[in-house]
Amino acid sequence: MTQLTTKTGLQPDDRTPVLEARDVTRYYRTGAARARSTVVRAVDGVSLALYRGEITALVGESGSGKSTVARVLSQLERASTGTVILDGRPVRRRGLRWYRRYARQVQLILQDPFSSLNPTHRVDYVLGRPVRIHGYARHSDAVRQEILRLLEHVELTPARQFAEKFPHELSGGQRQRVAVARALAARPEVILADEPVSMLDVSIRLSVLNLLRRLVTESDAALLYITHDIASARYFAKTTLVMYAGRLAEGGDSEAVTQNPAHPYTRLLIASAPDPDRADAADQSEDSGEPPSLARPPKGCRFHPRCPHAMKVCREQVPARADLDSGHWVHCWLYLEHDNADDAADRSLQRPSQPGDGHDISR
Amino acid sequence: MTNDDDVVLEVRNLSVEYGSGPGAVRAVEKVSLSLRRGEVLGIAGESGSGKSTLAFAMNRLLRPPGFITGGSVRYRAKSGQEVDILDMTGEELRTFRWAELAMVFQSAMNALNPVLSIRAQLADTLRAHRGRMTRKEEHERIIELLRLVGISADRASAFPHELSGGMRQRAMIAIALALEPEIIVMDEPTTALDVVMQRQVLAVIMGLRKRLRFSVIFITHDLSLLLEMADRIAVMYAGRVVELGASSELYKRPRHPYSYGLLHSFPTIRGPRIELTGIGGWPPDLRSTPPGCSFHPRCLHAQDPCRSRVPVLAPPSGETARQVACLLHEAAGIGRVPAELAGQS
Repeated sequence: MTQLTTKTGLQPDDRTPVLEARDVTRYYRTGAARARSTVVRAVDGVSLALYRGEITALVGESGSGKSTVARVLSQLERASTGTVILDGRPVRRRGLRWYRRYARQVQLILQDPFSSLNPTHRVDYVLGRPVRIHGYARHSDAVRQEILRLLEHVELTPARQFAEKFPHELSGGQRQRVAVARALAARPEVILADEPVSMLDVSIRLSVLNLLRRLVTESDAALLYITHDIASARYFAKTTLVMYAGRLAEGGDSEAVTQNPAHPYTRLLIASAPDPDRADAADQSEDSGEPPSLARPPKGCRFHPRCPHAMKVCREQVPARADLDSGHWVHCWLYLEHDNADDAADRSLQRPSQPGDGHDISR
Repeated sequence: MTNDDDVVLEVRNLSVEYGSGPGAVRAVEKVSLSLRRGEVLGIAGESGSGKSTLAFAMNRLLRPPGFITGGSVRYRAKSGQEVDILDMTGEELRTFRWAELAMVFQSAMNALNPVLSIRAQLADTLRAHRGRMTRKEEHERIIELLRLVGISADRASAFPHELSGGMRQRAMIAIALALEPEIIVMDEPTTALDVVMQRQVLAVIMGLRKRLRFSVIFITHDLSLLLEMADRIAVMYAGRVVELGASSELYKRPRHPYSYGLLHSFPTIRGPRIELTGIGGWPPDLRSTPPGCSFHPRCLHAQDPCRSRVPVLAPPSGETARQVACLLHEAAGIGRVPAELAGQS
C-alpha cells in the first residue's frame, strides 16, 4: 500500500476555476396561502469554486442544503440570488438550446442508481442518447463504438455484454458505473456527484470512488463530491467544504479540515464518525441537539444553539470568514475579533486542538 | 461481563429459502450462532448476505415466499427453561415475542403507526402483554420508558411525524424495551440517520445495555460501527457466516479474505491516508451462487479447491476463540496462509 501524497498545486487564488458559485442562495416558498407561506432558506450565501482535475468535497448532514447546491450548479434550479460562473462568464438562463449546451459542460450524477436509470431501456440506449444529442457521433456504427468505449472506460467489461443489459440485470455498483458513463458521454468539464456511493455496498464503494478519481485525472474535469461521510472526503478530495444549515461552516485542504477542524460543528461531525479505535461507544452520551428548521433558522451563527462555545455575539451576528493558515478558513466567531469583552475566556480555543479531544465538543 | 456458558439464544444450522423448487433462492445456509447473556453480537454483511433474513427467521417473522427449511433456534430463559422458537405454536409465539425477544427495525417511520401517538403505541404493547395495570401505573411506566431513551415526558403525546428521525428511532427502542426483553434484535437501527444522530442513538443503546443487561444482536452493513460496539462479530457472505470472533481480534487480525477486504474498504478519519481498493468483482447473485466457496470469484487467494469444495466454519489452526470458513485455514490446508491472514501480526 502506498502513502497518498497531496498534490502541491498552485494556491487557489492563482488559478481560474471552471465553475464557481458566488454568494448563491436558494429559497423555497412553502404553504398554500400567500399570507401564511414561509420561506425556507435551503442555501444561504454559498460561494465555492471548482478547479480542473481536482476533487472538491462538500460535506453535510441531510437537510444541510448540499444537494440544493448541486441542483443550482447544474442549473436544474435557478439561484434565488447570487451568480453561477462557468469558464469565467456568469450563467444566464435562456431556453432549451442554451440548457443543452450547459449540460454538455456540467453533468450531474445522482445518488440512487436504482431510480436514475430508466428500467425500460437497455444500457446501450441509455448511453447512446447523450452521445447522439451532444453530437459526438451520428451514424449507428460510430455511436456503437462510442458506447463500447464508454463502458470500457468505467470498467464494465466485456462491454458488448453490458451494452445489452437492462438496469435490473445489473448490481448497484454496475448501475452506478453506467450512470458515470452516461455523465462522461457528454465529455463534461465539471461533474457534480451527489452522494454517488452512499447507496452502494461497502466493498464496492471504494472501487467506484477510485474510478471517479481516475476519470477526473484523465479527463482533467472538475469534480464536486457531495457526501455525508467526512472520512471519505478526506480520502478522496483535495479540498473539503463543510456545510451546515444552508451555509458553509469551514473549508480548506481536506487533510487540514479533517485533522485540525476549526469549526465546532466540524469537530462534532468528526467525533461522531465511527472509529474502531475508540474505547467505548457509550462514552459520548451527551445530547448534541439537532439541526435547526430552515424555515426559522437561528439568528446569528446557525450552529449556536448546539455549540458548546456559543457566546453573545454568536446569537446576534453572522460570523464572517476567518482565514487560518494556508487556505484553511472558517465561519466562526471564535476566530474573529469582536467586541464582547466578557467572551474573552473562550478565546483560548483559537489554538487548533486535536480532533480526538471529544470533550471539546461534548462540553 | 459475559459468561461463555451462559448462552441465551442458540441458532443451529438454520437455513432459509425464498420460493421453492429449482428456482428457490438460498438466502441463509446452515448458520450457527450463539448469543451469550449480556453480549452485543454484531452481524455484518452486505446486501444479499442474508443478515436481515436471518434476523426475521430467528423471530419467526418471515413471510412467504420465505421459508425456514431446517435448523433450530433455542432460547434459554433466565429460569433455565429451554424452548425451540421454531416449534412454538401461534399462541406461544405471541407471548414470547416482545416479552423475551424484541426487534428494532431499520425504518422507524414505517414501523410506527402514523395515526397513533407514541404514548398510545407504548400503551398498546403494555396492555397486550401486561393486562393488569392501572391507568396510573401505565402512565408512569410510559414516562419512565421515554426517559430511558432520552425523550422528555411532554413529547409522549406526539405523533411519529412530529418527531425527528432520531427521536422516532428512540421511540422504537422504548417500545422494544417496554416488556424488559432478554434479547433485542436491531436490524440496521441507525442506517437512516445522520452521523451525529447515529452516534446519539448508539450511545442510548449502549448506555441502556449496561444498565438493563439485555443481549443485543446488532445487524448492519457498517463494519466500522460494529468494531466499536460489538463484543463479537459474525461476518456473513452469500448466506453463510464466513468468520466469527471477538471484534478486537477481527479488527486487528482478520483471518477470512472477505473480512480482510471489508476492513480495507472504508477510509478512516484518523491515522495515515493509505490507498484503499475495496473488494474487486461484484456481490454474489443468490440465484446462482458460485460453486465451492461463494467468495472465490472475488478472492485474491483463491485456488483450485476453492472452486469446488465448500469450506466449513471451524477454528483456524492455533486459535480456539474464533471460527473461519476458508480452505486456507483448514487443517489439511491447500497451501501457505498469506501473511496478512496468518493471525500473528
